[in-house]
Amino acid sequence: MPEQHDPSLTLFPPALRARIARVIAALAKPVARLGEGKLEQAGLRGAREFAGHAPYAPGDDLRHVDWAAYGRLGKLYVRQFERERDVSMTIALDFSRSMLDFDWHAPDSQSASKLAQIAQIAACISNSALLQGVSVRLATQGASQRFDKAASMPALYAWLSRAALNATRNDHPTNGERYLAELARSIRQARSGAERVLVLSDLMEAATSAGEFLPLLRGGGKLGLICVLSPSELHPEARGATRLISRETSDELSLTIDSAALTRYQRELAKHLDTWRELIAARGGTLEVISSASTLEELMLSTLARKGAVR
Amino acid sequence: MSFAAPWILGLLLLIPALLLVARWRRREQEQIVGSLLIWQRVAQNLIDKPEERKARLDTLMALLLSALAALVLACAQPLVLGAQRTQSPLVLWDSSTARLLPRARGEGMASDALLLKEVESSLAQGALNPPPIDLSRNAPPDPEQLRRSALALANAKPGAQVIVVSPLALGDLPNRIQQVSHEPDPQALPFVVLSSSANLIYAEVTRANSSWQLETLSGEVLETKRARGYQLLLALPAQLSDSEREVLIIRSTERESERAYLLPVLAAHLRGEQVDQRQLEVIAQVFAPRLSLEQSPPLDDARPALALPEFVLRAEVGTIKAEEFETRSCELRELHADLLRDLDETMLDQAWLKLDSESAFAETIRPASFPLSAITHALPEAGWEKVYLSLEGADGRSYPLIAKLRGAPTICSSLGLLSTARKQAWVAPLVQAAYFELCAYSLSEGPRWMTHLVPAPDAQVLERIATTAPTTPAAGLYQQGVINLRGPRASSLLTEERTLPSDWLRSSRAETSLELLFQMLALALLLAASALMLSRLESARKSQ
Repeated sequence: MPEQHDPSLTLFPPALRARIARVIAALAKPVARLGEGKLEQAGLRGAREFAGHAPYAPGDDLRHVDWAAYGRLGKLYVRQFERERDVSMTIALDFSRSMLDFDWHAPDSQSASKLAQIAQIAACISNSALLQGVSVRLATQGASQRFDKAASMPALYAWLSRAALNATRNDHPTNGERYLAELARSIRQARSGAERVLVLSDLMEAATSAGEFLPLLRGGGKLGLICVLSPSELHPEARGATRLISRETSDELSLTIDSAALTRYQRELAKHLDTWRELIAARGGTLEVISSASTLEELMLSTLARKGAVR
Repeated sequence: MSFAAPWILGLLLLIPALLLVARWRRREQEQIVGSLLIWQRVAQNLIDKPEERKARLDTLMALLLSALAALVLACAQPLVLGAQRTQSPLVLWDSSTARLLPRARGEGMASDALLLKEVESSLAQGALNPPPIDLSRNAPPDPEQLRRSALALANAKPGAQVIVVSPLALGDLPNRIQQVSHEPDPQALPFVVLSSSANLIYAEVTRANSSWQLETLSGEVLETKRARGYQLLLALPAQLSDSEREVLIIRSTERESERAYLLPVLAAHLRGEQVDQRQLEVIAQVFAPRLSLEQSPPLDDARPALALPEFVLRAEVGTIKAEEFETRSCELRELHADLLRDLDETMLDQAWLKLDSESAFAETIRPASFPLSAITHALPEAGWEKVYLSLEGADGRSYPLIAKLRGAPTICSSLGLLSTARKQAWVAPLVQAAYFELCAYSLSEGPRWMTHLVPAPDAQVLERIATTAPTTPAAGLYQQGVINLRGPRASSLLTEERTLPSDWLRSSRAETSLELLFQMLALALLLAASALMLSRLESARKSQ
């Protein structure tokens, strides 16, 4: 990568930033139109705490009428809520070597980079959260940054780009099999717990790492996992005799990729993701698997929004 | 080990080519993946392990290539020269002068020479060091002597292969003795000549015709139909008149049944040999009332005065040039028709024999004082080397019998008819003797006139001539073995070439089993490869 250029312009070129802005705007529209209730449902607002009752007055939201109290007392009361002051969200980014498939020298030639995909998702979600007054902590292994509502988007882009670039420059192979566990541990040590933890990763490590993220949750927070896999990981092709070289560990594996091997691969991949899904589902977490070839608009406005993964 | 078709071994070059192709197809392609986590589990859980798969593919490839190699080797016809080939093959061949007699396709010895070359090349085929052939052995022209010679030679050289080049039938021989010939076995010829001292019967089976033809002396075709031989023979008596009954020319297609069944029986019967009783009945039904040796008067008693006032049997001595032959040749049927007409119209109450030549026998001999049988004595004594016979009619026309030398049966049938008309039996041996001389003439003059050689004289006649006229050139040739023609066997000279049996070389090779071995090996390897592929398919099915 040319040193003189801003890496954030490589990972987030202006055109992409404009697309991100449009996506964020599209995400905000239904929230503004439907009111705060929808905001909460969309997960883009901070959680609210019950503050007490007040006599109903014309114009109050009928959804806040406490009908149980009306039954007991014969008068209409509405429930009043107070917004939590310290609502936060942690987005853990998997910048292990298995994710570092972004070519900084030819960024335009790549259409399905997992690294670029999770950076864009993180930017979108962070932006949306910041706009709703939710503080966001972005964390990778060895780097963590908290952004509040006053943070600017360029700062967000710059930090994401710098973290990705640093991970790429790090020639020392990371412990790819325990990257997420180490990442969760580092976040925990920083005592930066959050109501919501979103992990963006390819999940190419043992599912037991999911347990490391659970202590980060406080006050009934939830854990969301977005598994980004490349098309060749989702649907590999039969290539015959192949020497597979791991980007993560540089290990090699000779294998004949035929129909039988592909069938077995799909079975093992589904089994692996199911294990992850079951572990986090026990604590109310969700797991969504997406392709790195999907467009940002498709992901944010359709796939993830429909499945509630961005809440 | 050598190969009969070594060029086929070039196909072995396919093996390294196939190896290269297989290696190229099985080369590993590199692929960078984010993590091996899932792939390692795939590799662990696959039934078809990569190393096992590689070993199986290697084994499969080795089996297929081995099968290919075995097939190629089998197709190349491997030769392993056994112990019997360690010594030079000994070739017995009839190099006597008689083999110089013409054949339908050239001279016999030349044909034998070609055959020897063929044998030599066959022996040398594929051999790194082809064994030399000992050609110094001359086969005697007599079958029995030849057989004894072959056996003696085989006994003398236990390790050597003996190859007999001769058309003579030698009967069963040890495996080490191979008989080859471009000519057919004389005993199985499609041409059979039957003769007797009293009556002449020609039963000729020609290959060209597809139907039987019964031809009388007049040249008239009495019957032409498709029928089995014996059916035609049964029909003969009703078709023939008394005057024609004794001389028949029967032509037929080449039918194994007639050639190998009826005609030899008929020939044996006419020679007075023992024949099958059932066939005798058939033969008797057809021929016995008309033909039998017993009906012929003994030769010594056949000394009637020849009453042929208008005919002169002329025996000329001298050089007969080719032009004369051509000039005097005439159509067979015309000759017969003239003879028949003349004979019918003339009372043959007088006859005289004029022996006109340039020699001392130029004087005219009256038949009353000079029986025709004396010719057989007179001719050799005159030292004639060339004989020209003709019948001279009272009308002054000359019927040059010798002019039909190419159609030798013409002479026989003509004189046979003459004898029939006069009920004389002595003409036949006379004609045979004349033919014998003509054979000698042909031998000395070359084969160009003998495109259709006459049948050999009867053995008795030959013996008689040899004993009574030992100085004659023909008798001398006979005694020297130059002429080794005996009875029907002489007809071998009239037949076309017989090709070398196509399976002779193959059957003579011990390496045939080696070919089979390679073929079986290839089959076994293919079966093993098939089993391996099936197991591969099964494992793939299980892994899914």
